[in-house]
Amino acid sequence: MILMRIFIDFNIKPTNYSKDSLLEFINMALHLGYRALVIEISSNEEAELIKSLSGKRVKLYTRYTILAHSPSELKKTSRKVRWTDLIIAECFNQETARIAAKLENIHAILIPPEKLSLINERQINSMKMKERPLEIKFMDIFYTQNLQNTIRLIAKYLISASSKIPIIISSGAKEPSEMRSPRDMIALFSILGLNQEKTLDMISKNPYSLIRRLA
Amino acid sequence: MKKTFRVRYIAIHIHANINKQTFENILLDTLKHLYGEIGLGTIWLKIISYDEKSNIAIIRVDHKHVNHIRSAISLFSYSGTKLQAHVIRISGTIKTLHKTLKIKMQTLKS
Repeated sequence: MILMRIFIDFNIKPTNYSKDSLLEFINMALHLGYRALVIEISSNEEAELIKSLSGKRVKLYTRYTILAHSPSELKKTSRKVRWTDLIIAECFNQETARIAAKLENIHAILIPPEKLSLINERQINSMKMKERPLEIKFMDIFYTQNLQNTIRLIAKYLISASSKIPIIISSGAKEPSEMRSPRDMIALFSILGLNQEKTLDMISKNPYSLIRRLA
Repeated sequence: MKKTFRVRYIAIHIHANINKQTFENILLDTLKHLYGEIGLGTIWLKIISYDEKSNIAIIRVDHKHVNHIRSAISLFSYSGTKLQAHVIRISGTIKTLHKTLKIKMQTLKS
């Protein structure tokens, strides 16, 4: 029996948290074929609004991204945040990436494409031990100043890491017009050498298993 | 004997009101930027039709390069224009593509 894939956009970052603006995101998600959205929030009120809009056709989850410049900052903020379903650590240096891989209340690690060199053997092993996925934002590739260099880094670090740790590709859309169709978004990774099944897992199986673990 | 050259017809929905010429220019610019002249040549691209009412374009490409087109579409605004588009359907024959598009449009209307 072949089950249909459930596509999830793991990172939606609306600039406006009104009901209308969120409904626009939901309609676009339906149009593009997503079944769930994970929306970035910064307060409890936003979390309540998102929970009230979560429906049968598109399920909504909440997330909070900690911009981790230092390990102490990461530890302190991760203890404080209580109002979201998921806590993601965006790491800018080796030290914070190591700590983020070990902290229990961090659910995934986001690394900007230009910092992909942080994904070395040691980092992969610690992420593998804790089953921590690595998130890459498609909009970071989209708005990059040097596309050639970004693609080189993806091919060098991400493709080798994909066999050991789960990778999640998210849009990081700030407006509904920045959302991309799931299969279009992963086409670039297929060209770079990943097989079709693995790339599809990046937007369906990997984020879905993380959400299911929390439920 | 197995055919070496097979084509795929791709229906693309553009989320903006642009004409055929603009769409063609943006698509060619993005493809050229990403894969260069040789890459563009091997893709075997042809724009079959462009409906300005529904903003749906049908293009034909070599079956090995469907992912190249998809990634170019997802990176459309890289060439300077902010444009959202997505692939609706891919088919091996234009007849089936028209058939499925017709059904899809009817379900969207209802």
